[in-house]
Amino acid sequence: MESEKLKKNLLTIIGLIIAALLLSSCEEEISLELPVVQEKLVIDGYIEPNGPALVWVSRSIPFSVASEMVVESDLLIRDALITITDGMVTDTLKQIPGGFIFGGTGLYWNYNLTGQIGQTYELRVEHEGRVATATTTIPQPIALDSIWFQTEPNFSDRGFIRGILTDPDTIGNYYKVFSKAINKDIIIFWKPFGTT
Amino acid sequence: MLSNYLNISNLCLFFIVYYEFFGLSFFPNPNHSIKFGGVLTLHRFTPGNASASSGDVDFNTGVRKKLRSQEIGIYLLDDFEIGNRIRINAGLRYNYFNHIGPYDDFIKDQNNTTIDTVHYKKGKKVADYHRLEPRISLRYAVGLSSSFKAAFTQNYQNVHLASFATVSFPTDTWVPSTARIKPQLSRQYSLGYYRNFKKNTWETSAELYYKNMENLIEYKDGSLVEDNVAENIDNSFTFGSGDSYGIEFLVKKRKGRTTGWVGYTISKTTRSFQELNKGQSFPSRFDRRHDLSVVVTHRVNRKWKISGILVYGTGNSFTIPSSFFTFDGKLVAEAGERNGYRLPEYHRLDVSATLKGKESRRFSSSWTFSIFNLYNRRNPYFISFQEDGDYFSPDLQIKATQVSLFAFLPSVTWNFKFK
Repeated sequence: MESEKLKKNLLTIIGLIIAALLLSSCEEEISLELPVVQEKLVIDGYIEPNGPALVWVSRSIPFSVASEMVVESDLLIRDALITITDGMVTDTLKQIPGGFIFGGTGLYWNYNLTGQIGQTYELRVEHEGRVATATTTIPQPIALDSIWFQTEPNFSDRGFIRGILTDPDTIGNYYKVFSKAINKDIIIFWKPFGTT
Repeated sequence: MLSNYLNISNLCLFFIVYYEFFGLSFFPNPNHSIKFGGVLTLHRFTPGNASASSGDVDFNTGVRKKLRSQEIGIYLLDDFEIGNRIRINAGLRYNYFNHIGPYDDFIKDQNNTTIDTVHYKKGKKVADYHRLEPRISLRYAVGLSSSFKAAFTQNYQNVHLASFATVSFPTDTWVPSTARIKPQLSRQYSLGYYRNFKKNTWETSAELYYKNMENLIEYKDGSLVEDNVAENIDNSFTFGSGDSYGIEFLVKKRKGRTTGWVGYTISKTTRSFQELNKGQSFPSRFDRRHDLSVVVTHRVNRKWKISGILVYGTGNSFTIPSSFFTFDGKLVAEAGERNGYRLPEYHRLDVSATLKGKESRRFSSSWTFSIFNLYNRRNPYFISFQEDGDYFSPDLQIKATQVSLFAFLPSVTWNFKFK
């Protein structure tokens, strides 16, 4: 009997020790000494059938800058020279001024040149002596065979969006699914915001 | 405001049953012993799970898939002397590893698209390995109090540790060998010199070692922990090799009122993976250039004993984001050089005093008063990065936060023993 009691007490003591160990952690803000990293040009863009070419140009923020306060000019590039060509027509993209800043990034577009299915486009971005290029081809659109919403029994306010499409027999197809809640999410510049 | 989160439950559950099913010893003569035995090990691994959401959408990350395996080891160990000066310890171990069903294997093409699923029934073999582990050590006595020792050991390990370096919280996953994860091979070569002084009161040694490891695993760049949808855990790993070398010094005082030891190791551990760090070798997370331990115990009188422990080690290496950028409306971190950053060094002093209690015929006890981390060193456990502010304005700051465990901790322990 005695040893049973001792065992029980001992277990309590061990439990308290473990609790004390777990509670004695500490969290503090620190400053790291980091190697200086060169900022890089960040380009994010797309072109869709019958839509204009949209290109976001910004800078990457080295950690040494990000650990201080980031200001708009750390991110934004307002004076990039952007051209797009479909092989026949070459056009320059213009920066959308002021209030149209999305994600702290400068957005450039051109609505004279619209995307055509099967067409190949070349993009060239130049800024402060740095040049970046990219090539893309608009693939044939694939229609959804069917799409439906399936409620989830455990949740009253959510469920699954399911759909079926036929993937053509070519390698390297990727699909990006956008969704939005009606009367809830706002769309800015064709990029669904809130859910990707 | 947009909210994205990825939650990784790091509870990679596993249990191992270890059963020595036979063991025999023979002594042909007083200076010769032979041991023969077998060990059965059963593994059950349940990898951790992840949940993710973006805005109002929850992602289905699939169900946990258990991995079952069994291991049989049979060993023979022979220890004998040649003349007065040479002692040899030689052994051979045969190891059989077997990964068994139930298991679903997803066959992928080069674009990582599932092209076929192979289902294995309960108890059916998925993959197996036969391995041999030889070992030999040779000791040569120079005189009565000094000797040289040379050793070679080959080991296969069927339980692998994968660390997820790009997630700030250190996520360690243990996985068994599978068809894609081959048993980890390590070969260690060592050479040491041992010398005792003052009638074995002092023991000293210096040991040089080199270790080569093959079939090490690491997460592939850009892989997410425990992405379980139509995916096997072993698909997210990449394989490489590692090297470790160093020299260990040890001074030990065994007799007298004050005893203890000082150990110091200088070493270097690197890993090299074709698919990581542009193929260049990088420091292992546990690469520790300097490692020092000092342990001292002093018997004050018949009742009291005091002791102190000092440890010092180079900080672990880890990967930190070198820069951040906005892409697709999100803030993305660009990983810096793999394991290119060092945590501050780890050091700590613990002290304790032990009081011997009254001793009866049936019972003996003692009290230990101790303080862990006496000078309250805040040793870093991990560093995490948090976004502060709103990058859509932008009005953003990335903060580095260090989490330390086990600060100054006094404790009292009562030890007792029934005779």
